[in-house]
Amino acid sequence: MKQSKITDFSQKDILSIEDLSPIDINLILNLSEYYVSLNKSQNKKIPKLKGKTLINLFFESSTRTRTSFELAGKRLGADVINMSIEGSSIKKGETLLDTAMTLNAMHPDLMVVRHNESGAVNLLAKKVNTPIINAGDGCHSHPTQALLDALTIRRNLKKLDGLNVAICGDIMHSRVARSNIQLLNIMGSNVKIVAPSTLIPNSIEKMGVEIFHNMKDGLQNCDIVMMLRLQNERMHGSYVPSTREYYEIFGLSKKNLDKAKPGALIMHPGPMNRGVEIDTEVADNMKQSVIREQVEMGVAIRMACLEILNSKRVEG
Amino acid sequence: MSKKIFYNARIIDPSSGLDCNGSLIIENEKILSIEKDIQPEINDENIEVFNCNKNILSPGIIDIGVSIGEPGNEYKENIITATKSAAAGGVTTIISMPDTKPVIDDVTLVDFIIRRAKNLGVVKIIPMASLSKNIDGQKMSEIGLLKNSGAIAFSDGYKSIQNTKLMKNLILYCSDFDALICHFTDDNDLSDGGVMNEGEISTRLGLKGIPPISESIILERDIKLLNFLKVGKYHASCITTKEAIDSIRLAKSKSLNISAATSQYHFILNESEVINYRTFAKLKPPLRSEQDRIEVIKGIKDNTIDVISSFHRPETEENKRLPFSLAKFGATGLETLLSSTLNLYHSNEVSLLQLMHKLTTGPANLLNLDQGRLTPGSPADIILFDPDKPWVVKSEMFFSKSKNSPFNNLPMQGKVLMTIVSGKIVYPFRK
Repeated sequence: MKQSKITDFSQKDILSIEDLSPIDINLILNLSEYYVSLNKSQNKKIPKLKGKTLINLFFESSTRTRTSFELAGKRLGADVINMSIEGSSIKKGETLLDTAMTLNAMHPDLMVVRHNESGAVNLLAKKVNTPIINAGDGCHSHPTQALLDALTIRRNLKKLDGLNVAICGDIMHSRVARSNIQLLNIMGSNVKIVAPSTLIPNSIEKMGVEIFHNMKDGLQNCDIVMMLRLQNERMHGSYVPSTREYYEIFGLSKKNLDKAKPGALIMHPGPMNRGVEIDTEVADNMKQSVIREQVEMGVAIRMACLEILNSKRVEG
Repeated sequence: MSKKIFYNARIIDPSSGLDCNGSLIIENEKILSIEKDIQPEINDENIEVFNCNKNILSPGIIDIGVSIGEPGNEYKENIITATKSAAAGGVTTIISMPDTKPVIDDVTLVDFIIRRAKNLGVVKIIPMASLSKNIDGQKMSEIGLLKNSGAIAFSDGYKSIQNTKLMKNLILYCSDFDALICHFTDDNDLSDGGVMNEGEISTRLGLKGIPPISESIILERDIKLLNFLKVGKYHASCITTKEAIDSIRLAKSKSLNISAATSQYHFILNESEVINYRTFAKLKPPLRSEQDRIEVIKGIKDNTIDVISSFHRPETEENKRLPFSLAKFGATGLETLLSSTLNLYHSNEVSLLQLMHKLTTGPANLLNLDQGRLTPGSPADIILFDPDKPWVVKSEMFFSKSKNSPFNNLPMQGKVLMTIVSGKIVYPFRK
């Protein structure tokens, strides 16, 4: 097979997994492997983005993703500026394009954007010519999370196709679920979702998943169990009666984990609600849980994404 | 005494089913007669003669539920721009929405609209007043006084009355005054926070959906009330789903006094328009699935749907160029209503006469208006249009103050050549 170059990457921005081809995805994953080893070495800096400016524009609070992107930018030698713009949602909307145009006029080389409204990052990408990485928009998309999950899976199980993956929990409000469903389908794995009916969005089966309403059937024969956080902040109205009941029936306990394949990987995008969707002991199970590895892969994936979009820009 | 003779026309009068070639004669503000053959070379300075070149003469369009911007939203639209837009689109009577700032829930405000429209309007405007005070769904408006002051029907605009007891009392009370209720049906809890049709696309886009059932569940409630109370004159403002159309069909078969309208968008476009977060296609009710679009056409065809309206809802660019959930609902529609409706004629789905009925005689009958027909003695509110003329929608060319049309850049067929209101030519505009 012909080795693809990073300039073969098809997109100007990384907005959503569905825009990416298997070649694009493999490009990012392969380059990330290099950064995984770099991040473990003594000198973690490489001047790939020296003299470049990266703006992290966060319209929604974030600790881990923002830090991860900041670290990624700094390790590549870029000047990183973090901007957190929070306030009433209407205000945010009004200032979105204005803010973007203002920043665009400062000639940043790359922008990372998170926004609490679905589609906000797409809107922004249409208006600015700087390459943009979507760091999560509403309930729509979180491509770098799906990519780092894929890297974690590939490093542990040596492949991304033919796997059975259960994604469990609040699918309705989860951009992580949507991006993972897309990526795993593109790469040829089977996705099952396990959740109460109230947290399953309309027609999700058309995105290529099998639906289950209990852990016992859903986890059957699974290589990977991916847990999601209950997103109480996005819920308006009653979706589950109580966290106690939710944990008992849909939480990942040791008992439920036994239904999956022996040694199945346990994943969680974080932050975890211990005792709500995942049992503490299961989360910290060093043999099966790769939750900490996911965070580690995050920095490498983001370094790869930044480098790829930058070289694409230089080339173009 | 002044006469106008329009000859060499194809004359369509949906009120009588007339579709023939001939001439139409107007005297002052009224229609005098329709003649099969007429000698147009008359040398009388009091008679103006127009060759229609075989184009169609029909009653002017009566458009129920237009947002005219006044009072309160003049930056989006005002009476002059709305009526100019209407004239260019062949709409000769606007039935205005009451959801203004302030809400049309007081006789002085009804009077304000009527007076402003008379002084400034290029076409006729007849206001609707609100069903509930301040359209908050809590307390009845002064239905009797408002009706006496000239409110033609009662509506809460794009809001739906959730309180069943209030709806029951409105049906009862309005029936005492033979007042028409125009109700937009939507279950606020089911559609809470929703910004588009609920389905695969809303799931993919991560947008909150408005389930189709939230339209029919309130409609079913209202039908049950009408059935139970045995009184009331009810118009479902805008139905867009199979379930709602089925409900109306069934209610009509039980001879309830019920009618229904749909919008010009819901038989042409479907929910896929919002892919890529296109806020110009963010409408209320939302664009529905392809199956629903087909059901709307069926409903038009079998007369379950009596009226087609533009649901002209002007919005500024700033209110639309926002993340999808934050953008405002609505589209500017007066200037595309006729052409979009003719689409169903060109695709051989509905007959021309039937479509024109839903734009003219249908709404006129519903509102007890004299216009909307070409019978001698009725107001000379007439349009001349070329049903085949191709054009491409360029919303920046609209006479409306706002340019938010989901039809922008879409090719259309059929264009208004002349609009006559009360015997006066109001479009093309004089330079």
